Amino acid sequence: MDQKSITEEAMNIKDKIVKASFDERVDIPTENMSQFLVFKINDDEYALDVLSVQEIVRYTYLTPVPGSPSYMKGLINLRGNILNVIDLSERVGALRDNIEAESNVIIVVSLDSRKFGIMVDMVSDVVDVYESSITENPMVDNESNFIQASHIVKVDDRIIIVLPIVNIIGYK
Amino acid sequence: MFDSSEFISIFLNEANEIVEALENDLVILEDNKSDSELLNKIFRAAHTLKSSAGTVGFDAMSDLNHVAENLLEKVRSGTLEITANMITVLLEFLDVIKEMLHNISEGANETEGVNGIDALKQKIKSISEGKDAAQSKVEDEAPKAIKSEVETTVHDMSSNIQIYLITLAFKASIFENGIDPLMFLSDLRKLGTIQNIKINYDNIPSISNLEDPYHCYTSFEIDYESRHEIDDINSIFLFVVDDNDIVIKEIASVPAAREIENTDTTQSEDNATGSENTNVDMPLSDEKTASEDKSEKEPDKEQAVVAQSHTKPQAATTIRVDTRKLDSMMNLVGELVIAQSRIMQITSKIENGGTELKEAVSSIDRITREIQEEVMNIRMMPIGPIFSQFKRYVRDLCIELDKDIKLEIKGETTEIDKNMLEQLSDPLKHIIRNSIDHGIEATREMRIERNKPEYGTIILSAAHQEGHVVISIEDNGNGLNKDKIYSKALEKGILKKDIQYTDSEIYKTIFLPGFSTADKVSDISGRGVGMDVVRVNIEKLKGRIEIKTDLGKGTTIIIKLPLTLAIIEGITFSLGSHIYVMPLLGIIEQLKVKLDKLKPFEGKGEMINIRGEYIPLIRLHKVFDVETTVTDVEKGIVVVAESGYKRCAIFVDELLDQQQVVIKSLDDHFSKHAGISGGTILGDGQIALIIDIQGLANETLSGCINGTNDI
Repeated sequence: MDQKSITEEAMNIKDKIVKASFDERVDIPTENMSQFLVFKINDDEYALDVLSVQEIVRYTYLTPVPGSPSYMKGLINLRGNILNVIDLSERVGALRDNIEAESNVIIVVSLDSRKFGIMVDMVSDVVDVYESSITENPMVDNESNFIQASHIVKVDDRIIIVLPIVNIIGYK
Repeated sequence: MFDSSEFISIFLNEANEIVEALENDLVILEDNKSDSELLNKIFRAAHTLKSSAGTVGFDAMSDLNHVAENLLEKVRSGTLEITANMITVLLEFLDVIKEMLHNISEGANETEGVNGIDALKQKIKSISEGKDAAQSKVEDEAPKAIKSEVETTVHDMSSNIQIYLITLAFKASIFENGIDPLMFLSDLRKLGTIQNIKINYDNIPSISNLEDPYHCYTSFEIDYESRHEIDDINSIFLFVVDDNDIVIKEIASVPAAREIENTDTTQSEDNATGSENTNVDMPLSDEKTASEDKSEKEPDKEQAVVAQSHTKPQAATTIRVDTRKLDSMMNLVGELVIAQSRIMQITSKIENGGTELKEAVSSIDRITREIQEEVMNIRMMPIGPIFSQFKRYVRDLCIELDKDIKLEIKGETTEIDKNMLEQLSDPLKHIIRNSIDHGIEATREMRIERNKPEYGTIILSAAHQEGHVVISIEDNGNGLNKDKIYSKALEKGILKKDIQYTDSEIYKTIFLPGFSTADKVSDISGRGVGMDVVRVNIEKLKGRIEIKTDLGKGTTIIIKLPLTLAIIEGITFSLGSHIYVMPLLGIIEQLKVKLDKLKPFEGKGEMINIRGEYIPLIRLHKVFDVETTVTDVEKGIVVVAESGYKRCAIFVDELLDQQQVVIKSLDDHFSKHAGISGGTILGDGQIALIIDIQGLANETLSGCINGTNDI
């Protein structure tokens, strides 16, 4: 067996392993995969990088803070920590029909040492995406007051908008 | 050597602690010159500092420490006596060390910008050679003087080149201790020249017999030339001399040095026997350094044994914990208590039986509450260290001002929140400075004239009183001159002529910005900034200041602080469907107000007349934009509150309860109303916002008539 065929053989085996593991739904960490948490506002699908999501909690009563920006809906008590909750619909410029409904959920995100909640209509799933199917948003408008997609992800025939977490909590 | 930032940060922590303790101990030593135990403690601390500095590679600091240690060693052995000058120089030495430590923590070179190291060394050396002017007793004792002469010659000899034969055979498991034998070679090279090195690798097993590749199989034989004494060379191997085979022999030297050789051999003998004297006086967290720091050189064996028996019980049993860990623990325990009370509620609904369950639940309830109390207690620290740092301060100021003042400290075990401790130091310093500069009479004659002892006394005391910490600074000096303050206040327009003021109102004006009755501005005080800063700082800590004074007899300044900043006593009140907390400290009274007491001022809000005084009214539901059914002043309740020197009346729906709440800060990336200082979680898990009275008043009353209602 010459050098070339050994390499080919090895490549074949590797492919088989990768395929097998997908069939068995075993997660093999591969370099070119990213995970996103997909959620809905109205009927549009948005996503956040799953690594910064800490947990998802049910909607509870929000304590409003006087003098805070309108998208900051109030405070929740998460196991003794007080977290600010942001209504994402207002931040992305989509006016929501049902404000503060019991069906809403709060995604708890931690960034650096800060923690805050993001209120959305519902969380649908976590998707694994090849990096090749992630494209940067080509039309970032720096003048806009709304949060804009940092990337666009294609999963099957769905198009999901990835939001940059840093911008969600920053002033604009 | 070790260049790891982890080592350096451990070193910095330890060194700062040592320097602080040393400073304090030195001042105490001045008054208790015969306290040999204290002296031993000082010596050990200085030694630890030296060897730790050496371990992490700060040679300049280690060198300087070495010189100071020599001095202390002579004091300890009785060759020298303690003098005021000596203490002053040693304190100077600590200042230099502090500067160096600061440099290190900033990541700069240790000696950068630090002047006078060599001059200081020279100063210390000359004192240790008995050249202190105030030092005549030593010369009287002939034998001791000779002894010190011998040691002086040792120093002089050190300029001769000496040749050593060094054999290093390390134990096989040396690498497990994190020590690299090659490190010693590079250290040796710093002190002299390695003429010849023979590496003995006979012990290296053949590859097939190699059991553990991580063992050290090589030994070294070194011909070594150095201008340094054998002591210095010994100290390179300080940490390994115990359990490794290290022999340093002096094989050639100038004939005159024979005498020294003798001293050296005895010293190295002592090394072998005295090396067991582990330095016990170390906090647990620095375990690593402690174990490395074995083999303290003790020339006097007996003394060393005594010292050891003294130090054992002193071994500190503290551990450093990140305060964030404490905070998160406190959060969790708070939640535990809430969850627990829910379980209590549920079990109490069980009608038939269930007694066993109820018993179990109530015992869990008791335990949870105990845990909560304990967790709260972890933050509490004794106030002693803050107090004792002023010993040095008072001493320095006394020398500068040529006054004779004794500082008495009482209640140093009083515990207070650690976060507050750090912020207390500055205001106390200002007050003490004022007491020394203005309080205590300028001359001793003046004091004698007033039938007071020649020396002034400042009493610094702390005590727990009614759930508060009360700190008082009492001096027996001039006292405040009411008339002088009054006329000065009139002159500056702080007080108004046609209003009657109480004594305490007049005294309080000294805490206002820009106020100073000092006739001339001195270096130390009189700029009229100090006491204002004190007030601001104490208010930041949610505390209050009171003054008691007696002209010609003295002044007492009393600071009343809450036990902790994390918890405040507050009154909960409702506004629409929300609950808020107002700190009890700022509340003067609460009352129902009739409509006819209310006076609108066009464009400038409303005032209410309370017993003849007009106070601006804040309708909180309007300010906070909260929907409520209570909009009629007669239906709700008015809380009169004070912050700084402003008063305001806050109109709310209903007062609910008085309770202690744990303050939690809110994420400051989001803007919020200035009238809100933070949030808290109530017993049922609901969030309540805490009102900042000062912020609220500033925000809503700017532009109001009489908005800044002084005093």
